[in-house]
Amino acid sequence: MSRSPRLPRWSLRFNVALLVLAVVAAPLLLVAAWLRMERQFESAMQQNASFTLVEAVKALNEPPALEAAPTATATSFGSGASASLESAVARVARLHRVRVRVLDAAGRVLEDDDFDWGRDLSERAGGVVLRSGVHARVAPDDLRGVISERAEVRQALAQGGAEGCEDSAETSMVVCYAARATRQAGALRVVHVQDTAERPLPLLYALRFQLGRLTLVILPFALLLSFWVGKRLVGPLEALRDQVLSKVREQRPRADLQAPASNETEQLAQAFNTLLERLEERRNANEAFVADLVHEFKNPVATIRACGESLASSDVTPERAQRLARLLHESSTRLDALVSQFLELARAEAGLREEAWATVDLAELARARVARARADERWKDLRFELQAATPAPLRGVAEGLETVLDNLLVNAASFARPGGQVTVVVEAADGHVELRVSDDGPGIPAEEASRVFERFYTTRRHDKGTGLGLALVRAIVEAHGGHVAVASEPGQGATLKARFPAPASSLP
Amino acid sequence: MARLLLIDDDPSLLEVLTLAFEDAGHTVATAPDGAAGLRALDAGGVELVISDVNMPLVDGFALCRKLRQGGSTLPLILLTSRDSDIDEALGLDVGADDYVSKPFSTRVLLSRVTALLRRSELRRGSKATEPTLSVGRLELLPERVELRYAGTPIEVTVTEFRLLECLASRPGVVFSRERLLELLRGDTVVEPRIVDTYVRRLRRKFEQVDPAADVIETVIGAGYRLRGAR
Repeated sequence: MSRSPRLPRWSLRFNVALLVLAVVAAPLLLVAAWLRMERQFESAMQQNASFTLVEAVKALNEPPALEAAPTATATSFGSGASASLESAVARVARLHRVRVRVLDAAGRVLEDDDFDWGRDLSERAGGVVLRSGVHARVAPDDLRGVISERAEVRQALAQGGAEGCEDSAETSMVVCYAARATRQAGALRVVHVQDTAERPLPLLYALRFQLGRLTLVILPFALLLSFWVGKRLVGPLEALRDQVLSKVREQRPRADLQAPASNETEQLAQAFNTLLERLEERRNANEAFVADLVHEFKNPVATIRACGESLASSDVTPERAQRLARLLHESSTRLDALVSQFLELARAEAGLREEAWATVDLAELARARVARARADERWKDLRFELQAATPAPLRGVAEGLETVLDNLLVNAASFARPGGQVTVVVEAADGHVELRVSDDGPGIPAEEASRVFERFYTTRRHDKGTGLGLALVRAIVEAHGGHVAVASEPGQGATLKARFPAPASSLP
Repeated sequence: MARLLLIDDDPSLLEVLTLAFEDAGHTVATAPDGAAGLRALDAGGVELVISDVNMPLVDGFALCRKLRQGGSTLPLILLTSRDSDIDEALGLDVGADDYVSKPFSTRVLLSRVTALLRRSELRRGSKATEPTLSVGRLELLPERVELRYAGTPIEVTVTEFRLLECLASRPGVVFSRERLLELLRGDTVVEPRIVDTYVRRLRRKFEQVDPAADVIETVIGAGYRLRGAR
């Protein structure tokens, strides 16, 4: 029953190990992830370059007839005779955000339209986020040499076209290009399209194999570290767990859990101790209650037993049998009353049912219960006066509040003078509702006033009550968040008060 | 046979017990609480008291204490309903002669009453048949249930006297608790520890007369014995 539970799969230790491994492998993972991303946008750039090339070649050979309708952009860029040529190719370059150059057979640059500012965020991420410090528009030529001497240009002149990407370790850029030889008005031209992106981690990328080796070397140390940290984290928790589990076996667990370490587990141990203390208090209260109850059971049981013995003797006259039968009836009734009131009290002390809460007018309830008391045969010589002019709404359980009213009425009625008076007052004041039930009986001595709400404390004889009635009143009132009090002048009667909170905001 | 006073706050129990005692030939007076019981005792004529412990106003312990403080050695049986009451009932402070736990058998209660009355009658007994018993400074007068230590009379209850009488009949001999109970009451229904409380009470009474008096000796694991003549 108290064996240590199976460790769950995602234990703290495992998480610590995972964390340490993640930290150690982070540079490698970062490089790998970046490479993967780079591959993706490399192919996108390549496509972009090839596609743009086709359009640029077309733009180069556009018949002059179309030049009559220049776009607004074209006019702003070009001037004179060359304006139409420039504007057509430049428009294509701007549209695709690439750099387009037109060269002649000798390798002279006839036109250069540079709109290569990064096509989308992934191309520019390196520059924007990681600030590699190389400007995309300038650097490629520095890195890759003069345009006329590049491999792709030569290849275009020799074979008609070439395309590709360059992402060598030394460069901090990815450069994709496409070149094609074409003819413009009979003259040989090479159109060269270039799209670039910055590469943020050229150094790590270059070091990726060394990085891998380094990670392998660090790994055993990292595992040791994770083991140690895990032990430090989990050790005190396990010690505390064992202590708590050992409490299961104790008959009366004491709140003496020792903090295994002075960290958060100390607070946990304190929390457990507080819990144990509360449970201990609750258990003691329960034991006292049960002891009281058993004690109260003994009188009627003693009577029943004595009656039984008396009936068993040989000479039982009919009169005696009748008398004993009455005593048996009385005692069993008393036992029954004890049991039901005990259950009611146990329920009230455990708290009232959630769904039964509603807004209740205590004045209304009091009217009904006082009317019942007036009609009761037992108290037909008593006068019941009710002072409850204004509504007294509060959040509560009507059934419980009726029990409170009834028990206070029974109590007052049994102490009132013969032919005397019981007064019930319900008052709604700022933030609370007060119920007062007074009698004109002998009153309660000051030293006993504090005890009248204790269970089984009664100044009445056994035939008049169970000793649980006022305890039940207190339990119900306290379950409503209220409290009870008693005021009495010896000889002047007693007033029992119940005050309920009734914040105006909580009521409709 | 005898006039008894029954005190209990449960009227049903009072009624059925009254029936039982009247059947046994006793005269019974009843009181619903300790205060009424004390008033009935003041009126006189009561030979034995049976009282409940747990009562409103004046409880059984308070009643017993008041009685003993007033110097009365009237035989008194307490009706207890909690185990924790037993020690207090028989303790030095309260000084009841006996107790019966609720719920009890009427037959057992009757036999206790009879045993106590028998001893009590001895005290008032007119027939001086038994001789005075002297052990050292101790003098027991069984026919009048009187105890003297070094000439000073000591007020004891009949139960206490009977206990001492048993021990004094054979000084130096060890009596077990069970044996003492048998001699005292004729039954061993109750736990033998009741004997311990009787002995404690007697010792305190001796000490009040002579702080150095060490009349009853405890023999660990066996019982009690009277110290031989000094």
